[in-house]
Amino acid sequence: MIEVEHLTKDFARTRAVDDATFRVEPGEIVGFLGPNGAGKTTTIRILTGFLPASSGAAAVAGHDVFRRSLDVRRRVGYLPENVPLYADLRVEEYLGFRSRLKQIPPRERRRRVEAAMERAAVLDVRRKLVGALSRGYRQRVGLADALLADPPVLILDEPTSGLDPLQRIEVKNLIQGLKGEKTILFSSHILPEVESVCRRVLIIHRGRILADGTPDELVAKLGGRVRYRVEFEPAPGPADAIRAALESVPGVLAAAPETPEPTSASFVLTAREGADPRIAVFRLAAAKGWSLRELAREASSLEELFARIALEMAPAAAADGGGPAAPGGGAP
Amino acid sequence: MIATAWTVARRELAAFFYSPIAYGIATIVLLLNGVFFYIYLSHPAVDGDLKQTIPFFYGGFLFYWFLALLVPPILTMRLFAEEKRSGTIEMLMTAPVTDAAVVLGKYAGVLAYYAALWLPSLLYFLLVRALGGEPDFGLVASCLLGTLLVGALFLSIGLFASACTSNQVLAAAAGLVLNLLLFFLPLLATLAIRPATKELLERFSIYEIVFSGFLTGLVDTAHVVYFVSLAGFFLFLTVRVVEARKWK
Repeated sequence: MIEVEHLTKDFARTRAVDDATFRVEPGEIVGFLGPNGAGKTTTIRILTGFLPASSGAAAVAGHDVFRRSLDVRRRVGYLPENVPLYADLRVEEYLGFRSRLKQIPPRERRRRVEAAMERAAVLDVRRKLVGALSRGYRQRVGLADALLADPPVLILDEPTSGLDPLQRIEVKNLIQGLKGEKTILFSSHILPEVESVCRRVLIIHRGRILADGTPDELVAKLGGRVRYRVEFEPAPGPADAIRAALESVPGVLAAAPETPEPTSASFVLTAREGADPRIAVFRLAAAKGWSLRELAREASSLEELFARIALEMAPAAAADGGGPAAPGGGAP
Repeated sequence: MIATAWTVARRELAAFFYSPIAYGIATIVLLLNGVFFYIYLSHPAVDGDLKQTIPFFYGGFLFYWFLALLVPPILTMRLFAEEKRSGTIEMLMTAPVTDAAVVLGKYAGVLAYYAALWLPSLLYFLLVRALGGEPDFGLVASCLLGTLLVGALFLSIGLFASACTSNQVLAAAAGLVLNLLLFFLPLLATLAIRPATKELLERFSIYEIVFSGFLTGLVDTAHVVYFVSLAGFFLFLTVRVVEARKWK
């Protein structure tokens, strides 16, 4: 449904998208992950016909995004990142305007606008001025607009950014409710959100697609160096001694005190691939008589996951003349 | 394309009625027009002669040009600049509409608003007739056509300026400067020494065309074509500028 091949986009001084290649199959929900400035929005703008690519090709719903831009735009519901809407219109007026702009047949307009408002849960603000809406409602009006023409493809740029946790869940549920019905590409920088909704995840950094796979595959790939946090109370002794003891546990590559004091009570453990040293750490504590307050696996945030992938990829990138080598702590 | 341009035109026209600036301009223009019409008509030199009042009102006097040059850039400044500043341009241009339809739609919307500013002047003459005068409605029509064509040109220039920037004030200033250049450069004809140069400059002088054409009740096809094609040229440039984001 979305095919991107060797897509590159150069701005005056920077390369925003660098030789990106990926596909999204019909009916798939794919998460597009990357930090700010990674090239997500640029890629999305190319797919929606707002910007042209410098080289490479992209097709959405079977049409080339540059040569058949109007055909693509008819088949894509797009939610831009900051949800720019006309503030001077009421919600239903705005959607009415959009339905005419999207050339929905006059007879169906009323029904489509109602259906989109219902789906995006904005019926209760239909008479309100768009400019007076809260961020969450604006986002939902944007989603209603994207759904308006009942397009087969939805491209959503950061649909949950700026929302409170409850609103996030609502938007997530909305996207989940479209599963199987629409092909969806949505960008985010929050991993758990993407994990819970998407079957597949693309990770982009500095314009390059660094990873492409199911969340499970990515977790397996990243399983390499999962971190654990261990805390004692009270601190059982000098940090150096405890550290040495922890590092002697099988599977633990390194233990680092969380605080600089010589008697730090908490440590962060880096574990070898596939290893879960928690039981062994508990036994060690029990054997030594240290009172354990907490022992937990640290949920990997996107920043971490991403840093890991970026670091692992860096040597390859350097080899073919790409980005600079990663500073210290590369893959073992 | 026509349907989407019409949709955009309706939205832009409606947007004028949501904005305080448009009401402010309408108030000022209608009020000043009314006052000046009264002044022209009651001036001792004119002495209620409608044959002189009508051309005075539609371009024979400096005040008209103050409005004709200044009002269009203020009306057009928002059209693209505001969409670019607020980012709504992205919503607009990723809908299935062509760049040309968006430009035409915005232009049609602002042109309709400009026409709405000037059409009430017809009432003056209806009123004058009701009071026993005999205005020449043929002359009024020709003068009004001139006003609309001048407006069409200056609005296309303003739209072009608005498409070039995301700053409304800059758009208005640039539009005004372009209008002034186009208006005043040919007036240098009075300084020209060679008769051929003088004649050529006069031929392209907006003031000259309006003064010796439309204001005399004479609608010359060449004059109409001059305004329409020049406006078309600036609309074409506007479409190019809107497209230009694609070549950055």
